[in-house]
Amino acid sequence: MEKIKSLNFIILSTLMLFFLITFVWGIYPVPIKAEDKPPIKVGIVYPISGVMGTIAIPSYKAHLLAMSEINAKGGLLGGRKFEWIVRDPMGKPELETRYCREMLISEKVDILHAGYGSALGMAASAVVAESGRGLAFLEGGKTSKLRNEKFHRNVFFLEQEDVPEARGMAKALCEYGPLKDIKEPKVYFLSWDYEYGRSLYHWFAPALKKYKPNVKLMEAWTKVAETDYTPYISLIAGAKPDVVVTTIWGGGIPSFLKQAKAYGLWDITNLFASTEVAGVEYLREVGELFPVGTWVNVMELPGIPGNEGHRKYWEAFRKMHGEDPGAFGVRNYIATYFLAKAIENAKSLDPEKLIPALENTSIDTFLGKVWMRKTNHQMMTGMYWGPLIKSDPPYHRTLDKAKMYWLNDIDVSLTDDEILNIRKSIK
Amino acid sequence: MDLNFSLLGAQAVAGLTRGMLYYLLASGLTLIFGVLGIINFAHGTFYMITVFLTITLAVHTNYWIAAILAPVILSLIGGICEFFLLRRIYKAHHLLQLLLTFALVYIGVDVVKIFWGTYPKSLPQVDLLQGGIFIGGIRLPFSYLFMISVSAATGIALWLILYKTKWGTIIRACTIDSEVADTLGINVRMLFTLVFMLGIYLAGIGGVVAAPVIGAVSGMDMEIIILCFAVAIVGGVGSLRGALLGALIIGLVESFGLLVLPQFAIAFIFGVMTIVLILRPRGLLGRSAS
Repeated sequence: MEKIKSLNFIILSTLMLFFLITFVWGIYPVPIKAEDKPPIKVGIVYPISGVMGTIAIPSYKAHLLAMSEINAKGGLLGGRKFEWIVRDPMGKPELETRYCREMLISEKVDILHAGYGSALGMAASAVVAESGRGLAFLEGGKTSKLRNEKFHRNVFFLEQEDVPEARGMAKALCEYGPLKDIKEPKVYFLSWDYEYGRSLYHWFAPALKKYKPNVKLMEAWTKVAETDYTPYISLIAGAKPDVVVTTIWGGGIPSFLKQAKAYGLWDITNLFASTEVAGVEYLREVGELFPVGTWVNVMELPGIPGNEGHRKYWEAFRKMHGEDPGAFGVRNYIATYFLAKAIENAKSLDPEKLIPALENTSIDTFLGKVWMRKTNHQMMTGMYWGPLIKSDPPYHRTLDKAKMYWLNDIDVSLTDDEILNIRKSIK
Repeated sequence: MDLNFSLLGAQAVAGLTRGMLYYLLASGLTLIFGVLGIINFAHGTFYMITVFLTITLAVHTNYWIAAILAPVILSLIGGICEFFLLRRIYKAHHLLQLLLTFALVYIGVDVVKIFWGTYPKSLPQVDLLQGGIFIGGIRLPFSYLFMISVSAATGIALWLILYKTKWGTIIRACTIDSEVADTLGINVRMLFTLVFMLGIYLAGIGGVVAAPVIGAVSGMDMEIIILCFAVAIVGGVGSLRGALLGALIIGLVESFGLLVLPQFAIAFIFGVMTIVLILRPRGLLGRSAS
């Protein structure tokens, strides 16, 4: 009997202790270690393979660098760390759609980095609109259509829009570059025939005519990723323009430069190569092919801007990836820190809180102040413009520091009224 | 625009250069299809790898040694692919054949990514091919003359092999009926391997002559293979003479189309292809199915 009483006491005491612990645990939340906190899930859908890999890989690596640095400092929101899932749509819109759906619906990522290039940008934006959840940051996708006609509240843009690029080109050509002193210039516009090229031309033509009303503007369009420009070059040579403006990039640019040189095109005209083709990845491989004096636009180059933050970024990138950062990577690196600050400001990953936080966030970077434009969700930075001069290997060319200048995107972007009018005209 | 003689001449040269490169590739493609009955989607990929290989070999030796070695190496790789992969599916459905050669495209693209990365590459300047000559006001760069001459010489050599040698007779016999050739004691298996290697060698020559005037980048294979198919369709799949005719038509139409409507020049090629498909579905010099 004594034994039974003693057993009952032990059982009763254990149960009471169990309930007490459970009760206390429930009322007083015990601090969770940082490692136990849920991660910030990031989906990265970038075309790592195929022709777009040239520029997508540096962007992808820059995201990884910034997220790793933030994780190493303890993460965000009191210890939540970035965790990423990567998919490669290989430049195909149908794969982009599938992977973006997978990220937003199955994986339930908090942040989606996708839409590299105009075509993939259109596909990714459509998935975000359809799913009605998550936040997407579209890289590439320069076309203004995504920001204006097809604007969606949950979508933000990292890559420079085509409007400031097109207007920046016209300004550089006419105020500082090869058309500065020519009253009735002849300009030949050569581009791959796709959304970005057409959209850039759409904004470039009127901007150029504003500076030079009597300009003779000619145009020619090649297939995307063309490698033989010979018939176009002889056509351009026959027209004897004052400048050739190209939007060709990737493997197309060395082909075009080689063929133009073989035909002596640079003996009779000048080159203006937009689309950030003078990034280090190009200069290292094919820098010698660029004629000295070619006008270009870039966000950064070795030693440009060359301040402490810029040097640290290069060192960190080289340490982590064992190579130089590519031209497009810097935007993604900055964007990740921008996003991190917005998350801290919002104190949440809930899109309803994060969207207004993003719209009101700005950060100081080694490229100056970066902010998000509320009207079209465009990350606002700027670009260096100027002519190329010779430099030592491995890059062979660099910007002429005496003639280059920084142009803020906002100075040549559409005004809020212009954007709203475009949207109104669609409705 | 002034349509003067020098502009027309320059466009003709540009079209001819393009056409000859297309011919080198399309002749290999059409030869493989004619004998092996396989539509080799990976043909452009072999061409792309040759361009990259030529650049690497030229950096370590010089362009001329690279020009000899690169097509031979690719041809050997092609032989290995035929021996271990393609010969297993000769009698399979065309869909399976397409699937396998398409898989080779992806493997080839990844090979390029692993060995050469994703950034564009360029052949160092070849001194002998720098500069050019003027004929009637038309500038003819040496690199283009080299491309035209090598392509023409290769075409003549191919014609001599196929029409003036015993091997050529056997190959042509196999294009008509390989099973009958087999019963006559011809080692059809070995012949198939050799023909596949020859086809890849032609693509390799294309890569070698193109390397001085183009940049190399992963993905360039798909751009060229589409045009090769257009050439083969216009000329007639399986016909070497058709490949030459188709290549010249496509090259010149593309080039002169620019003079007519530069904004829409790329549509001309496919316009020609559509017209040929409607009026003569087997191609201009293709054999009828019967």
